[in-house]
Amino acid sequence: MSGIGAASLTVVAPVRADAGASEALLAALERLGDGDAGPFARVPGTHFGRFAFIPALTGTRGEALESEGSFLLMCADFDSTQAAWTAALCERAGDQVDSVMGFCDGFPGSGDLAGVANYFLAHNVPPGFTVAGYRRIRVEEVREALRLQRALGELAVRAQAEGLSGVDLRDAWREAVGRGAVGGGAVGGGAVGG
Amino acid sequence: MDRHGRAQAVVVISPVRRWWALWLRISWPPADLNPLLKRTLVRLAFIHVAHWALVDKVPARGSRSGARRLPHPYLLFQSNFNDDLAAYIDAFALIVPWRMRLMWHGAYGFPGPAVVDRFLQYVLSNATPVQHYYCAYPDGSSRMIGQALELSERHATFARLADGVGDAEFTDAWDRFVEENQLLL
Repeated sequence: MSGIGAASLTVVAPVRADAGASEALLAALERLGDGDAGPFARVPGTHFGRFAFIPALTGTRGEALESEGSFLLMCADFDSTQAAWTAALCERAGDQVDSVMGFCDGFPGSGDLAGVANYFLAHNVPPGFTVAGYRRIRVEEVREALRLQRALGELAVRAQAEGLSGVDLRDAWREAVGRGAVGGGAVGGGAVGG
Repeated sequence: MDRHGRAQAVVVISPVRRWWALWLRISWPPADLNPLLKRTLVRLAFIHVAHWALVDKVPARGSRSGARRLPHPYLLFQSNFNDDLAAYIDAFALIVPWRMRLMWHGAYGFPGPAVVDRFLQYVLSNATPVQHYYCAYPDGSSRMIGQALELSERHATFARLADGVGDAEFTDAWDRFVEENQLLL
């Protein structure tokens, strides 16, 4: 099962063995900045995304197996298919993706959409067991539900403090929830195709 | 940076014995479809989404001839949660210890969850730092989102009712709505 999104990717990619590649990759990851500045924020419908550098796998006693090389882990949960999400990632954040995935063995570069899709597919480790904290839902629906919760909470406080009733209360409610929230509290869209 | 707002990421990569990897591959498909096995973890309300996976070669989906076999199978755990990691692992160990055994029992060096400090140390020593992390709704905790989704559904019912009543009835309906849903607001 994919969890809260329609699909997920867990890419384990070997990092090139060139001298200095690991240090340069870490510096590139640092340059991505915080979450809102990075590539996952540019792809609508992405719930969560991460990059983690794995300097070495460990052996049976916890020792680093440096001969196995280092790896870059990329994980994401999203509202579209793997192919659609990968295409959107390359189109919208190709420069950032290349800046880190470019240190991985065989990564074709974001300009080669089919190549990247094949690369992600080949290096994907599909989940065997998933725990989702809430039902499958689109990113925009989560955001709208949180906005509605905040708006209704504020209105409840205001209505009590100001003694709102009748038409004043109804007008305040309409203003608080907005047209999109009435009748469903959720808006569609916001994900890349698929 | 393993945090984005209230959300936090963790990645734990543990080498496991081959027979244990086989057990996981056999047991996961039915377990993943069984909501009863997940219910307690979901009720703790601090997980957005967590995945467990196995990797034993690179590329993971590569052909036998084109892939490099790793020295052991590795159990890859990655989670998106709120609260701090120690509290998260404490809850795992104290509330769902047998589920933790079903996941990690065959991992090298797994101390079991009975002594929480040792279990936490095991997780920390196998955790990989996350350098870049994104959450689409960083202001929302898992519990807040669950409540917001439930409130949204209840509000849709209220909104349909409110459309068909006069202003006085609307006031009564609003008061009832607030009273019935105050824990979700």
